[in-house]
Amino acid sequence: MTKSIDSTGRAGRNFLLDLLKQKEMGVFLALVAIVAFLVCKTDSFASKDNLFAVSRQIAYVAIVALGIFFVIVTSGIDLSVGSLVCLSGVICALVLQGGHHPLLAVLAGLLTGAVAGAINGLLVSYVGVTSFIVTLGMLSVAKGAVLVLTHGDSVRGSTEQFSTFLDFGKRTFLDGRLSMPVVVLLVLAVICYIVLRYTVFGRRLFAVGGNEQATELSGINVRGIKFFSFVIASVASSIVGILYIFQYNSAQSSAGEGMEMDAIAAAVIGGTSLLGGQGSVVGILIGAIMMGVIRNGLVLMKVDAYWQKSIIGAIIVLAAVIDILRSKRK
Amino acid sequence: MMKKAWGSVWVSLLLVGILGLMGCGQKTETKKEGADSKQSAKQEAKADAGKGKKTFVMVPKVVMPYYEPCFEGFKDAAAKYGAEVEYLPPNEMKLPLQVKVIEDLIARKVDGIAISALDDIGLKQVINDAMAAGIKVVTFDAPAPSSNALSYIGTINEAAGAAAAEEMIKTMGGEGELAILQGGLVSSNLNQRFEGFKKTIETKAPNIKIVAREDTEGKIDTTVAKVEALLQVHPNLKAFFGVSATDAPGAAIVIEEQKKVGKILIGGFDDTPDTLSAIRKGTVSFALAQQTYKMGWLSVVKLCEAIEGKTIEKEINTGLLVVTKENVDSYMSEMKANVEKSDAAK
Amino acid sequence: MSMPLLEMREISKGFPGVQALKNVNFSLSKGEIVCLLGENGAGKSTLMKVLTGVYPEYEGTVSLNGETIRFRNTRDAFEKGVSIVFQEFNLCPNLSAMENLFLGNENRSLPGFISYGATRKKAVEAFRKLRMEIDPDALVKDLGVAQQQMIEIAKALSHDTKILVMDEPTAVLTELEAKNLFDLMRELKAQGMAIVFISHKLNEVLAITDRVVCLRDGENSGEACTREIGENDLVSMMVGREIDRFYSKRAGQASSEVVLDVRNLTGRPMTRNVSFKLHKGEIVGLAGLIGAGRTELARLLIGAEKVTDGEIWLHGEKVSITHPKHAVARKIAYVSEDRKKYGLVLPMTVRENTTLAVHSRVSNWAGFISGSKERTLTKDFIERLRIKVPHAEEVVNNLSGGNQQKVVLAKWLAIAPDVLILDEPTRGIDVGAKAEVHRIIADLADSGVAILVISSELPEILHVSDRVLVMHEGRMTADIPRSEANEETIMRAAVA
Repeated sequence: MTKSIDSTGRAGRNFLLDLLKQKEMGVFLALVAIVAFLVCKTDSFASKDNLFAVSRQIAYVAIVALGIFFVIVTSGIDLSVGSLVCLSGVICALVLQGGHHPLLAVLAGLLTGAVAGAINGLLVSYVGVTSFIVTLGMLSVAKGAVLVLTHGDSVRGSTEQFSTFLDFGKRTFLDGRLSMPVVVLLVLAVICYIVLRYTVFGRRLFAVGGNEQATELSGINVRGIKFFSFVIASVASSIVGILYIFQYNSAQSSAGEGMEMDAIAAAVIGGTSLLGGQGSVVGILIGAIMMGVIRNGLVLMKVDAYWQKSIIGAIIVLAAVIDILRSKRK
Repeated sequence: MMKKAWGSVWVSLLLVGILGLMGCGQKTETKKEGADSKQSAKQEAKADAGKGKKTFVMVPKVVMPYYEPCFEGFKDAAAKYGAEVEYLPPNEMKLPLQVKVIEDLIARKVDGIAISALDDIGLKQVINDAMAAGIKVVTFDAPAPSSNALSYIGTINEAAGAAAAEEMIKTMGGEGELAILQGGLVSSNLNQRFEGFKKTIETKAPNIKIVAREDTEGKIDTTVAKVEALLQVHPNLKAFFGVSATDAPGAAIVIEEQKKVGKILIGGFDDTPDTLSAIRKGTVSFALAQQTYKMGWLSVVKLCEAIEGKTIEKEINTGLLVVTKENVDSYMSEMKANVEKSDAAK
Repeated sequence: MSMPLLEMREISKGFPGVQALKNVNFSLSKGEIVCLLGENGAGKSTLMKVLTGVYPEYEGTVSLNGETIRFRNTRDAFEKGVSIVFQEFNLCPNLSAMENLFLGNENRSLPGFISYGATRKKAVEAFRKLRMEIDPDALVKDLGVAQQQMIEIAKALSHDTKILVMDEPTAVLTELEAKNLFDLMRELKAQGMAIVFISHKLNEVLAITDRVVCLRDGENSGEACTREIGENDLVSMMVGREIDRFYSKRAGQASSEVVLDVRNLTGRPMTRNVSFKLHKGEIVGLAGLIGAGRTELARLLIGAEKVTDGEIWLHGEKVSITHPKHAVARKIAYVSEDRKKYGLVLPMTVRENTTLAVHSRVSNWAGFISGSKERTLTKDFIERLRIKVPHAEEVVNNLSGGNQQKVVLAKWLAIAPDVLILDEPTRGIDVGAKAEVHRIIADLADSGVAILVISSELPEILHVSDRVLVMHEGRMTADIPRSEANEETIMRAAVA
């Protein structure tokens, strides 16, 4: 939405017109066009198996993107999310391998994210170091920690607890159409939507991003808000790290690598402004779907391997350019 | 504001703490892989003093389980030939990090270096500097032909690709659709493998059709996503071949999940623990193991010969072992035994 | 005065959806200072843009010295002798004064090379003519605002200028600097220059101009000789109705109950040993030169800066305020001087801005915001403060300056403050809105709020205050009751 998420509270206006004017409509229509194109041009895009696979790939990125959204809205950035996906997964798997209860393992994984996020938040909000530097540092620290713990190998499961854990996670829904990550995404998306639109915390997030000084002078604890946004981003990453184990049957030392780029791109495509104060859950979902569909489509269309990377890079740049043009027009 | 000044102090302390931890991490590696802690310190002192036992250092591209057998061979040969060894892998596969390691070794005046070159041109200067300083340098696993390094001890990649193709033809029964996975399209060693592979397939198995070649970027997420998509595009696909170490295990994850083990075949490169595990399960049919133990062993042998003034071969092909379900648990000890046997026979 | 130097006849200019100018007539004679008056949106800028060549497309005729012309662009106008000094300077802060002076007009020795010797000489000459001591090599960012303005004026005069347009030139100047500017203007007038003076400061208009031409809603709405009219006439011309009172009369009076007692307050960055009291229902003015430390004092009081010594007593109880949230909790409100920077979250709506400080009032225990409570509260304030918006969902960024200021006020009134600190509350808003803000202030005082008004407009301070406090370089230098307060007594304390 052009302003914060609450712009269409007007009564009696043309609903359809308002819908079309929504900021996300542009990308949504683009997405519909791409999907339609792929459905026509390939017989495999719309197949049950492909949709299952693609929706799961999208879910991973989307959950990280939702988490990072909280940080971006407050005008920050978090580059450590990818490496935290990896680290959290490694720790969760190690706990399972140690023969401990799966719930404990999940807790350990989430705690990894929480602690890392707290450190990020502390350094950015209370010490005042810029988020780019702090999270870049955390990225290295997390990567290094993974190396120390795994020596570059993966953490494979052999304990009973590991199997129980996997059994739970490999469950599918809707007759094998929806994977666990997709279900988790849907739940998280709804929660995020409600928090961002209807709660004080959500309102304050957007306020901080819209004008940090004015918000602070209005009596709001800006530091606390920013601190929590980093914790949320990192915990979201942990969730994905844990979800990956269900698919990989292990914690891989290259899992989540480079994910921050996809997450940020998804956010920007979906209408989030990197300057803060703007964006929506719907936009994030559209952006993540767009990224996943394009990646999938490139392979399905048998695009030459050498071109694929360039195309994806070009799309990310395009998204950033559109973002700037959008903010300039206002 | 005063708060910011205090903030800088905290940040500096934190950074120092983190760097210290990372430094500890490095040292732990050497301590673990070299001798025990007391000996390690003595080694360094001896190396710096420049007398007593020779010191050889192995510098792989990065911390990775693939190199561990290399260092084992290095270490065992050193025990036999009376040298002290160290293992100094950079934390990340980044050229400046590897350059820095070599520079530090030049300063320490070690006797010999075995390096798996991250970048041929990028390392040329520092390798030549080391040679000029009197340190004997050989490359293993990845060559640096532009430099003055005395030898390349490792796999000849094109031949490796050809050998892999032979195995693949066997596995596929000479026909069917094949998709290639490669972890990055820029590295020369991977491309050489692919070229060797492709040529052999084209000449020896005209009924095998390579229908796709995808860049998996060496990342598990990308590998899995590409394999999932490829299975959709090519419904008649019979096999995957993974050119780099992360490809076959990534394909294995998908094949296992989709319960197509045995229906879709996988062949790969390098004997990483994940690949071996998949071979045991039958998901991966074969993997070409580079003779990593042999690379490490021969590095020490050749470094010793170089110090004695002998001329050594410019290139030593350490060859490959095909690992299948049959020999997956025994191949490593076989490799070691072969190496020690041929060494004793000299 | 003889034949007019400039005649603009029946000028009309339209944009998609809006007719900015409708048959406007405006003329200027040599050696005349004319004020172009009007509320924001009345058409003043558009008219001046037509005059200075920004809009080459318009209806009507413009003639200089009897000859009809139409400027093709700003350069064309500049070369024909029409210059304008804008409110927002177009200077490069990292370049020196003389480099800025000749930007675009560099003195070249060889093609492509700047001759610095010649430049410096010419710069010194130009500044001397304006009676300003400016080091030609000084970087613009190190110069004061008044000096920067001088460079802009020098730039405008660097050609053979016949007509000089000045857009709100005193908005950023202190009283002293404004006085200097007026002296310069009088000199230029004596030399025969015609000056168009755009300003909202009515006392200045009456002081310096010969004639006043007023626009309202894109049309002429009045013209008069300055010496024949007074302030109320100016206001009437601008708003189109009789305003008999610009500053509202108070119904009540200050009580003797002390609400805020500040004792020896010292803090960052410059406040030293400040003591004063605020009583219930009182309006206290805080005067001083720009940079005297008044805003810094206000920020200390609300916890935006660190207190290093001294005490704050509220309702007879000592309080510690280390963050604005404490101030809000204790019902101290601070309306900052830069509403766009410190007062409003521009991308948000009127409703969201109004409730920004009172989330606890419009939400439940679980942190969920009640849409209906919000809307009711906002509607209430829109009515009470007469904020002109089609609905509460209007984005604040689209509002006029006056309405934006009212939204900020609404936000702070929502906390039901006992103490209200206003920092330049009527800066940059049009006359109609100004009067309304003063009415609101008066009503608040009558209802018992203790009010501190920081203002650089002496007339404003003198009209509204029961008492005037004066600051100088971070210290309180005077506490003047209304009966003794005048421009002289305040100025003396401000510079002492």
